[in-house]
Amino acid sequence: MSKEQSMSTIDKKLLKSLFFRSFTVFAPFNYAKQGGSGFCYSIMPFINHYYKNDSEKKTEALTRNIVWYNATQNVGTFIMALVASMEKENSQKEDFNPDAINAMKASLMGPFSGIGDTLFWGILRVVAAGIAMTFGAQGSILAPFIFLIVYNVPSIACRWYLTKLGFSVGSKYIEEMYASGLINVLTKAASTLGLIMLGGMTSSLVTFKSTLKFNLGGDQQLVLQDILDSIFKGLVPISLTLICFYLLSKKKVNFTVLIVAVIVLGILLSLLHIA
Amino acid sequence: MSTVTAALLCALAYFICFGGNWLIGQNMADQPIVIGPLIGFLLGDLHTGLVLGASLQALFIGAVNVGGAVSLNPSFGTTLAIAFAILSGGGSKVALAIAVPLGLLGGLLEVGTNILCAFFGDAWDKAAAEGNGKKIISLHYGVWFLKYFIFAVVIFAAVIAGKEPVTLFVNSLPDAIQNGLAVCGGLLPAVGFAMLLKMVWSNKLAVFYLLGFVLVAYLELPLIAVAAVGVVLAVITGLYDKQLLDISNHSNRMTTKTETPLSEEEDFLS
Repeated sequence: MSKEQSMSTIDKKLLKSLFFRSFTVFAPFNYAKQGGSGFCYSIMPFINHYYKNDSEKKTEALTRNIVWYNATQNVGTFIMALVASMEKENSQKEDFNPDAINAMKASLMGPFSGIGDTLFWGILRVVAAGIAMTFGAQGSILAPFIFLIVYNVPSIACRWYLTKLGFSVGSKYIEEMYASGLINVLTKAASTLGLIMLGGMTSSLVTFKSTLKFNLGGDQQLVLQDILDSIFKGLVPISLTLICFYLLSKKKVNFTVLIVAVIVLGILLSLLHIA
Repeated sequence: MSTVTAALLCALAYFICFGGNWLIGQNMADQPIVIGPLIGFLLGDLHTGLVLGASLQALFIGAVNVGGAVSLNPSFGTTLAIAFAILSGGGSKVALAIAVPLGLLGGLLEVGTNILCAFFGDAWDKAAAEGNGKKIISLHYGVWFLKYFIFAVVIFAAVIAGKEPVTLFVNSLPDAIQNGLAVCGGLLPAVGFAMLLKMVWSNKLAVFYLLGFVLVAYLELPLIAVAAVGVVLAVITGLYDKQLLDISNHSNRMTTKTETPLSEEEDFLS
């Protein structure tokens, strides 16, 4: 019993080390390994500890974990900690098949990145930026700090929580979360927040004001922008955004191409004296 | 401040924000709203840095480098655009005109460094095969430093070489084009939001996008209030969905457990 107790304190220490190392996972990002070196570096405390008496197995473990890796980093710690727990098992059980480790890793990277990118890149970062930009536009020094705090506190909390979870519950837990549909509920709630925020930001940040006027004789004037506004306020911004969205998602138009197209559009509108 | 000093400060700020972002858990220090004020502060015009940082954040909001696919490098565009805006005295007119083209160039540079650093892939494999953990670690940090040092050098050179030509270029642009670039500044965030919509869109939830739009367009709520409304609605719908889920999971369990009435009773009692 006392032995088991001491084991878990060591694991706790190793896990903390994994957590801190995981911050650097994509530091030397490149097309050969992406986060491979960072993954290996993050779980190295476990490899060093559990294979310390077996240099051959240690080499095998390092080789196994230096392979290509990419998952959104603040949720990827789940995969790291899970792999760490599997490496530990491998070092203790003779009949453990180490091939299962990379198979597991490969199967989790996609789903974790899908949810992680949406939550952190698509939603949390946008919410944080939306709040902070109001301050920045007024020249308030608080802007960058608000942005960093609103983004990083949940991000770091999630990173730590998933580190612990990955090591203790194993992959079964995630499978159950998927099977029970809980993941869908969470994603849907987050998407609701994200869409409301994106709608608000489209309205406040995509701007267009037409300067086109027609003189109808006498003191009668036809102002294009007034007509547009009376149809729907922000008609051009929301239409343009949705057209871009349609082109990006349905027509698979390249992001860069779209950027260049909008620049050309803006200059054309100006040359034609529409805006 | 001499141009060389300014260039050094920009390179340093860029290294800290962009390199630091990737060294310390993608903390988003490379976003325009953070790097903008820092550049402004270092070049002695914090206010411009803050205001331009906020507008460039809108411009670059959709530059999402997911899964290693790089198109724009927001921090590259922001650093140079704000530096030139302050050094040339051209203000936001200069920054908005050049930020996106420079961001595209920065994206190309990022692809280049990603390829360059890929040459170290074999060294990592070799180190692992030798069981040499220390070498894996030193390469890990070494390649990080190399990559962002290259970026910093490019920023340094670009500020020194670009100050005069950029000022000349922007001043020589005809009024119609300058006005066109200002129009672009208003329209370009649309592409960014489209990119983000692609991540979170679902046809069933699309009405919430409309709601957010109307809250700002007609009710003129500030974004922080929109975020609060969003949180409230997300919690309400989330709890409701959770309830539905529990009911359906429970009824599934009931039907599978009809042969063991005892455990069903226990479920009921607990």
